[in-house]
Amino acid sequence: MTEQSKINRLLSALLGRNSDVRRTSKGEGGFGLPEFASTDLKPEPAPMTIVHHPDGRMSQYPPVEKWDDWVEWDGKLWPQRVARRYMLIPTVCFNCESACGLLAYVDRETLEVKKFEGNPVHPGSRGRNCAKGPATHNQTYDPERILYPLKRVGKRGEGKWKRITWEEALSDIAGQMRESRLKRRDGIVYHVGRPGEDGYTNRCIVAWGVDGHNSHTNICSSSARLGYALWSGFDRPSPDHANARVILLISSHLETGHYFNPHAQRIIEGKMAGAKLITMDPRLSNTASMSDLWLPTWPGSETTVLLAIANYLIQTGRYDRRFVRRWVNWRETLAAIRDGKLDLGDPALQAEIAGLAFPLSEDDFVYFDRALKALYRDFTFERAAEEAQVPVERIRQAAEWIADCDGRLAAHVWRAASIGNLGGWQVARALFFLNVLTGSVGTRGGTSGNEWNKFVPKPFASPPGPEAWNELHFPIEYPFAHYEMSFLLPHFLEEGRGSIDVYFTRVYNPMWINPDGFMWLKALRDESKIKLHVALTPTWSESAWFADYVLPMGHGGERHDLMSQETHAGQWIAFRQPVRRVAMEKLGRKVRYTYEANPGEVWEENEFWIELSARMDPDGSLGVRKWFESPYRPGEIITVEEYYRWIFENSVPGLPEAAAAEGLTPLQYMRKYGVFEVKRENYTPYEKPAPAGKGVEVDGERKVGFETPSGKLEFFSETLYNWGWPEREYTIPWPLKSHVHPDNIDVQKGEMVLLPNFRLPTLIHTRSANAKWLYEISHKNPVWMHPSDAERIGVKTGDLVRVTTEIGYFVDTVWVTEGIKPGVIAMSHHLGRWRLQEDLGVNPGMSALARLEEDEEGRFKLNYIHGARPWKSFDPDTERIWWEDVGVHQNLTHAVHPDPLSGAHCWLQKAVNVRKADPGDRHGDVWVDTNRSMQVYREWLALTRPANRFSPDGNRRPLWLKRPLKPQAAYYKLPKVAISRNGQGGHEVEQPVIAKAGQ
Amino acid sequence: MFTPHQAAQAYAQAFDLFARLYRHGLTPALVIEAAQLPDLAAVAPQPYDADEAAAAFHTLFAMNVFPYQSVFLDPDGLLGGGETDRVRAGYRRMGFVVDEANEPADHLAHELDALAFLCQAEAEAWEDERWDMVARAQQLQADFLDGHLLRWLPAFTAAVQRQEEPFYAGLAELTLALAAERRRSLEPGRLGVQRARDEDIALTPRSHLNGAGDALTLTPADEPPAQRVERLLANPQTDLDAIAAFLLTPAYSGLFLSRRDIGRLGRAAEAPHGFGERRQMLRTFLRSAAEFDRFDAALAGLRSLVEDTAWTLRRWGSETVSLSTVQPWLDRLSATRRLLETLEAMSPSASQLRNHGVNFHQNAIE
Repeated sequence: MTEQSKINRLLSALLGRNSDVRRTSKGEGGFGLPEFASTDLKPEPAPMTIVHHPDGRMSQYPPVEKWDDWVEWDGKLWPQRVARRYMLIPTVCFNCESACGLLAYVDRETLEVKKFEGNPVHPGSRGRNCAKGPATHNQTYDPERILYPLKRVGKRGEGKWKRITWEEALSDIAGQMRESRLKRRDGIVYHVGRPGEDGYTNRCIVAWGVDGHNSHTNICSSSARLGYALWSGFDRPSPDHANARVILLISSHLETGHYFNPHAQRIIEGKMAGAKLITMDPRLSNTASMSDLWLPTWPGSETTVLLAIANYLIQTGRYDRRFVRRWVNWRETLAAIRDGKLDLGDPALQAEIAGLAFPLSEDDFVYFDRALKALYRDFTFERAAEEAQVPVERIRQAAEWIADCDGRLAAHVWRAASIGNLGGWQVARALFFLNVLTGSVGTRGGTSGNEWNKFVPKPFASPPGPEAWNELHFPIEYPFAHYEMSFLLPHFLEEGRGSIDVYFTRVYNPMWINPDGFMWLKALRDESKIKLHVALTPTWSESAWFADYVLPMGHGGERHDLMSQETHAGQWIAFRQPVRRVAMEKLGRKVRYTYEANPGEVWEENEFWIELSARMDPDGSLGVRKWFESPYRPGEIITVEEYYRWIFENSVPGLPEAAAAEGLTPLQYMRKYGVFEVKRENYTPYEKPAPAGKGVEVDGERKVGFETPSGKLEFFSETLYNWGWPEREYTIPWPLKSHVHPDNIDVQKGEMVLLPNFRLPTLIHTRSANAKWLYEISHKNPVWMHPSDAERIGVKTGDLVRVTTEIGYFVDTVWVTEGIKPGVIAMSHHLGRWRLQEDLGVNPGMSALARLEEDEEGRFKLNYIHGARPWKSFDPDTERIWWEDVGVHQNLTHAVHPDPLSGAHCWLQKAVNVRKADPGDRHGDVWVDTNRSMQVYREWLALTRPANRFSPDGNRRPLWLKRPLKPQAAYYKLPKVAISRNGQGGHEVEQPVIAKAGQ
Repeated sequence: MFTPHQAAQAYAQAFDLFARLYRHGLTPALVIEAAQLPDLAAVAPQPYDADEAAAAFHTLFAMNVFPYQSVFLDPDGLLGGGETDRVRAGYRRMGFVVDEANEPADHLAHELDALAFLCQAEAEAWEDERWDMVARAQQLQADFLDGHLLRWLPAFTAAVQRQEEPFYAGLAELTLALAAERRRSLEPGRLGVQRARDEDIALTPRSHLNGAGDALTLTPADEPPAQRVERLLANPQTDLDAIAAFLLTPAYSGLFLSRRDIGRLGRAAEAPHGFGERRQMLRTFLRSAAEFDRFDAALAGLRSLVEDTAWTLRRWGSETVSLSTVQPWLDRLSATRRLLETLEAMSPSASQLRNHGVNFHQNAIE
């Protein structure tokens, strides 16, 4: 019958198509969607581990005893009942810094990962995860991931690559490292985006004998760090949200950002128990919308608001006098007043204090109380309300709640206002002032120092600090930088301050994430300045495009790391594991290197660094090799297993005992649970008795105290005074005028403030573009604009606007919303990924295809050719890309704003003009003049007070302040050769003598 | 030929592809898929233009032929009634979860999806050597085809074929052939199940009332079409509007009159048909035809539509589907033929009554 044959033809065609798909379902090297085996076993009832969520929900997890052999139905195959047999291997999420626990369901037969769920025994995340955790699966099976080492062919940035062996990569790179190290000790740089581990790689860098650590800290947290460090010596806070009475957040950064999961659950717990939540943020964030009180403060006014609250506590006497008397350096402060170092603005009181008999008695504390009253009396609620442009009642309400907090004020600032503004470090200083005044320091429900709640164990041998000082990271202009001046690296290179022999970017996309990206483009392209660029990354990025080697690295379930995070007032340590390797070992297969278990030839970093370091110094003559020799097999190169085995056996208190109780070795214990709780609670450790010869005297007892010069919390900073910042607005908590202060923004002229750095809790900076699941949730970053501003410039939601910054402009759609303060526009900083070649680069569904042009005079243009597109791969999901708009890369148009003290890039941008787009403008357009970039850089550089002119002790940096990989004290000394400079800021920095000398 | 397992796989893919075509139209992604199938490639628009294709899809299925079971089988001819509920009940029985966010359960795409789901389940049952599951999946397919899809697909296909959209005309005919061929392959003895297992689970030939006692089954009180026409003609209340309503209800008339069909009738009969919903259009057309002496021409147009449709259905009954599948539609059409003939016989008087309002019956009798 004709009909029948027609249908047969149709069905054949479909079957043929089907078998084609099948043939390609596994790509090269057998990589493709996971496949799972069925089992004849049936799921059996088991007493499930139940986790109760604060909102009443419950989650159930298979009990730990069953993790090695767990049978459950495959939900995807419903209504068929197909059982699968898994091994549940714990690991740690790698998609932000929180180090939440994950549990990988590894098929016992195919060794593929079915899913990642929460680890219920993890004390930080407690079984819960945000969207980023389960998305690890999507990243693991990302069809676009890089599986083999690649080497550049042709010119840098040309986009031509060849596959090479690891042996080739290792020996060439190690050879160049050796060559550099023989010449100098600052030629090798490891530039890390997200460490995602504690100390392993830092140990390697120190072992190489170089000062070579670089990070993203100064575009993130450096101002907050300096603010906290000046008070206390610790450089980040750890609020105990769950037990707080008042939670005060400057922005929602962490709470909807990278500490989202562990913090958010504890904030909700605190709220359920009656805590009041106060949020300061010009934008109505998710957190702000959940708050009892939202203070949409004008950017830069936060310090004034906080000091108005402080003033209220001071003037009304509603502060914890006992705590302040015991733990604040009030004696030193009164001495400074006596010596005229601190102007009270009250000559009579100043004279009275000058006449006191020093040393002071306890009763003289009243003078400190009077001094505070005099200093802060002008910080009224009315003044704060006017500066912040918020209703005065809200500030008064906040002050009342804080006054009643009873030592339980959990407060936090991380990016937001501290990283946004010139002088943003004073936001953190003023915020912690409230912790100090309320006695909420390290208390239950208060705010601790992060290191009290974080546990970093010592490895088997620790190399000494480097005998060098890296001028490109810590130039003399920034003695207080917290920490490396990472985002100015291209500007320094442009000025001819130095060069880099071997530059590792590790899960780091500097050209995209930093401000002024075209300066990075210029630097990365210049083979005379960055001689070898090795990008360690699981997936393509804009920066990897300009590398010489692209080396694939593992995701959360494909690597070893140790991590601990101050998620709450306790200490734990978590073990990230390559789950397939662990499953293979448990099933009795021998694995020497993790790449044997990973897809393609994906190495784990730990093993990469071991092998690379060993090859750098094959005969041990450089003194590098010895740090990579096994503590168990003398003279032989260590294995990754031995490295962690030693730590678990020797430097995690309580772990060997806990393991023995279960009949396990410490390593087996960590392989089984993935986590160990070191301390359940750790409140007020500064009150503990000090070891002999250490600590500080308080009320006649020696206490541990704080890691500051005085051992106490430093209200008056003698350090800043001595290092060239003697004015009152620096030495004590005091407002500094932001670069986006209303005086500097003329709204009538069309100027606005661009708030470019808020987070979406489902994205991972530049690391989400390999997770379609996450991009499906959020993929565009329109410009938030208040209706009054939209009306003024004549735009409505969906229209294109052109935002002109100091150095260029970008074009994006606008979203008109009441959720942003008038005069401010906001734009999330995650989105706007692009690629230069249709079939290579960032995933096609998550990036725009772009054209990049530059002229002879340093002006750059980026135009989108088209937006996201579905694409064919072994994963049918990649054909389900329903969006085109993947956002706009705004950072390219941001001028660098290095804070002269903290070294932070002050993210808030002065939008010199915001208007309806011109007729020729297209979404995604970016234009930048890098000559302007250098000009703005020099304007900000001129604000510094360099160490060579102000250092009181001939050092580059106060020794007591933290610094990653602290060099030995001798190398803090300023170079003997004068650093010449010309008025234009075009520095001629001599190669530091010390670095030259260090052989 | 295929193994039964391959066949199930292939049918799953075919139903799935067709469902997407009826759901989304010939989108850029689907045009690529369709191009791989010669029968569809032959009718695909050349050159392809995404906007044109989207417009054609909208015109056809949103403006003219509505691809819902209830439109064809519900006596009200409206969505969301008893037929839709019956379809939902059918899905529940097979464990198919339907997403009604955009379209109700009885949209053609959903029904094809349901079949794809069953074929896929059958294919997997073959892989797992679960003969009981194979038999059950096959039984459910047969039930669903008999009880739902094949009951209306012939009339739908006939309607689509008149709409001057070669691609969808081809697609619809192919859909009918595919469903019919699937149903034929499910006849006992053709499936290979018995060979593979000891115990024989026969495919019970059941009526569409496979959920006996289910409150949602079709009311057996349906009177034969011829009888309904007699009653309509005998009713003194019957006027032109009632005739229009009858003609517009496929469950009675056996015809589906789209806007385009009515427009074409109007042009052929040289009578204005106006605009708006179909009922409005058909009423305007019949009334103006009656008023302007074009009633005979109008009836002739309708007659030829009936004959053409019946011819098409008879052809399918011998070539594509079983005769029993098209027979209910032929019965309806022959009743409609009888109605039109009666009206034709009255026509002179009807045409005299142009000034007497709408009560056709009374006017005709006088």
